[in-house]
Amino acid sequence: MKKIKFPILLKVILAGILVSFVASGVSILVSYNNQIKIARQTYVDNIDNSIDYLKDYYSTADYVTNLSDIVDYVLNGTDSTDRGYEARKAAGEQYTLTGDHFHNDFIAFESYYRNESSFIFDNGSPSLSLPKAKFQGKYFTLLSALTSAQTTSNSVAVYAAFEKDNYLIFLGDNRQASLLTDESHPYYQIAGTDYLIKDTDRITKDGEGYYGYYIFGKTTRLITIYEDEAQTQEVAKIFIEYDDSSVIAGVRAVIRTESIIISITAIFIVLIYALLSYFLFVRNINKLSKVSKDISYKLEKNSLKEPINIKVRSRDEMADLATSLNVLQTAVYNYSELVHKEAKEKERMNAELEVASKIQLEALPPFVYKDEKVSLRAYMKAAKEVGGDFYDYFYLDENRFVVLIADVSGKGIPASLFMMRSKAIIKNEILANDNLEAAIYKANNILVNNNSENLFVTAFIGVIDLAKQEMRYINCGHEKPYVFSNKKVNKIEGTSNFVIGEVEGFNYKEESIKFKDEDTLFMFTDGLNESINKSKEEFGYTRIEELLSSNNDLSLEELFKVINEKHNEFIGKEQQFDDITMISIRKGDNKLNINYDQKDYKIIEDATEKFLATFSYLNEETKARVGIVLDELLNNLISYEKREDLQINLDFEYLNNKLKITITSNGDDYDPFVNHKVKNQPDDNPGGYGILLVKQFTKKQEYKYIDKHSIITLYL
Amino acid sequence: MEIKITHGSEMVIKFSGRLDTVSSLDLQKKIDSEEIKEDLVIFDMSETEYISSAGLRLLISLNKTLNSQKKKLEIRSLNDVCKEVFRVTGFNNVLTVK
Repeated sequence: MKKIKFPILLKVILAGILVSFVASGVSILVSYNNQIKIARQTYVDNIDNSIDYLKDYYSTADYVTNLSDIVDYVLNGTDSTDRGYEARKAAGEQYTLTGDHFHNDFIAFESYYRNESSFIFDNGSPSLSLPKAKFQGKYFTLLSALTSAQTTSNSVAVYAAFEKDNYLIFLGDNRQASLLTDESHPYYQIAGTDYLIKDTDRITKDGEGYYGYYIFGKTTRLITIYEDEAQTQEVAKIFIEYDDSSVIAGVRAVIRTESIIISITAIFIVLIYALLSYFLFVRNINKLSKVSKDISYKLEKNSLKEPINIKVRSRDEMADLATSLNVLQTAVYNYSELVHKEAKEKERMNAELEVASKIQLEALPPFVYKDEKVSLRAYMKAAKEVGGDFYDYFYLDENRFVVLIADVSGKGIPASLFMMRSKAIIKNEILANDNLEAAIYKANNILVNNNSENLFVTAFIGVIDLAKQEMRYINCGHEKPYVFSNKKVNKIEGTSNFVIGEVEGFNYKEESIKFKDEDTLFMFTDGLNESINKSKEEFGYTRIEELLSSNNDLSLEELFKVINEKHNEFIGKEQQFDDITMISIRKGDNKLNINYDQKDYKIIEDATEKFLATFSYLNEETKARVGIVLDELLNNLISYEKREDLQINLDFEYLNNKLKITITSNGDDYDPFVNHKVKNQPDDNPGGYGILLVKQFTKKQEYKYIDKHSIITLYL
Repeated sequence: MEIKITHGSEMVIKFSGRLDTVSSLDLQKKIDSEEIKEDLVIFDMSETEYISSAGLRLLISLNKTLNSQKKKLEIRSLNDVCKEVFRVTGFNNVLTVK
């Protein structure tokens, strides 16, 4: 599955967005908190300032404590010049609170603000029920609670309240507040909403009935006002509440605007950052990446004609990388060129070696040879494609069979070339000379000359005289072969002559041993006994001797199979380091005798198989003819003999190119060849054709009945 | 021994190995189990090592059966030994050998 690409530039942009998002978020949060803090502080400060002033005032001013005084003053004034409301009303004048004339709470306010404004009682109101004060161009309503209180007691408390920026400042002298009923609790009004002042929140001091009220809210301020300058008697408490949610809402509105600005700025910063990233390094990375991809693709496809130069102008790590890549690429290019060439060369060499190996094998006679006189099996496995081992076998005359094994020093091509030469020369000399000693003497002299590489051959050359049952041999420094039978395994000791190809004029000595009909000769090269296993242990002579001894009853084919199996088992996964060659010969299988004591068509197949296995060296046509003959005669016996305890003996002998088959049975005296009637025309009953075929495929047929046995003898 | 039978425009019986007493019985069984729809049956002996009289018996009986159904048997690709067997017994005159 192809993975989705995730380019660097995208990563850079995403990283920028993430960073700016976090940074903006944090700064907005910090700003928000700060602004909230500042807003609240400013708010509180403002109120505190106002209140401080009031406190100052209260502590220093000469004030009246009874509302009736105020009311009296307001209504009537104190003198003729500063007449009260009633007087002025009567005179049709507007009433204005001014100046230092009155020492009461209203005056306090007025005094405080007098520089900027004045309190004006609403001219339109005939009573005090809804007095208004004007402050800094704003009207403040003196709340109805005041009126209510006043009306009830006529001399209750001084309450003052004013609104400032939606916040209510409430002042009160509540010495008479105990007169208030729950229903008449003072209330105040903010933006048209009435708020009740609860007496459950009264603050009591020393049981004197001084009360302070506060206004519910999230944020409150409590001011204590004292009666005297020494501040021992509290006159009033001032509670101030403001609405925090409106502060927050205000700040949020500001922050919202700020956030938008910050976000837009952040986007711009990210864009600039991405652009810078692109031009500063992403562009170069892309370039490097593209060229590298191109190069690796071409290298893979072997289509890189020459190294591609990667140019990076920047003076950063990218440039270093480009330079390194160029160097690396050139190195890889050169190396791959070399490898390519070498691979081609190797391929050619391998192909040639394969052919060479074939030629070399073809120079050797077949692995299997069988005739009526000898049965031979050879095996060769070169460590490399071609090797220096060889074997040879051939008849010298009718009874003398030459078999030899040899090992050229070294391995591989040099050894194989020398081997080809040695094999031809040795065979030629053996054939050309009557005497084995003379033949090897001459062969040695030829090979010593023109041998600048000083290669040499170890060899064991045996000439088996099948009639005399002996073997004459010369051992030229070769591994000593074995002669074994079902009784013993003997190493062919005796003179180990010098190797062939080293010393000119060396006189090789021939020796001889008995080689009986039951004997088998086993020769090998040191590749076999010197092969090592994982623990560097050699295969050795003992193992070879044991294998020969315990498998002496096997056919050569089976024997070689066992030796190969055991040898492979021994070396395991170890590499073969030397050529391995084995050759074994024994007297030929020219006889076969089989007994059957059952009346079953299966014996035909069994007899045929056994015949073919033993006389495998016969030509295909002869084998087919024997097969037909056996089928016809055995079929006749099994089909027509009445007795159930039929016993059949088959005897085969191949001598002097003649095969003799004898079929003996305890059946009736019946000569199939005499009683056979030749048909002139084939008919539906092909009975009788069998004997016709037997006659056709054998040169001579004989029938005898001796000692209650019928004997058919056939010659092919 | 191996017997391969293929059907088509003609039925082909290919016998590999030695066509002798025992294998003839197997071949007979095999042929008996086949439904012969084709008009021409080819007995391919390219892989037959040799044929004995038991094999001849089978072929003559097969030929007879086919002829009674107005079908033909054709024997093909004989090696030298088989040719000799057919020649000596005169079966090359009775059977169609190509």
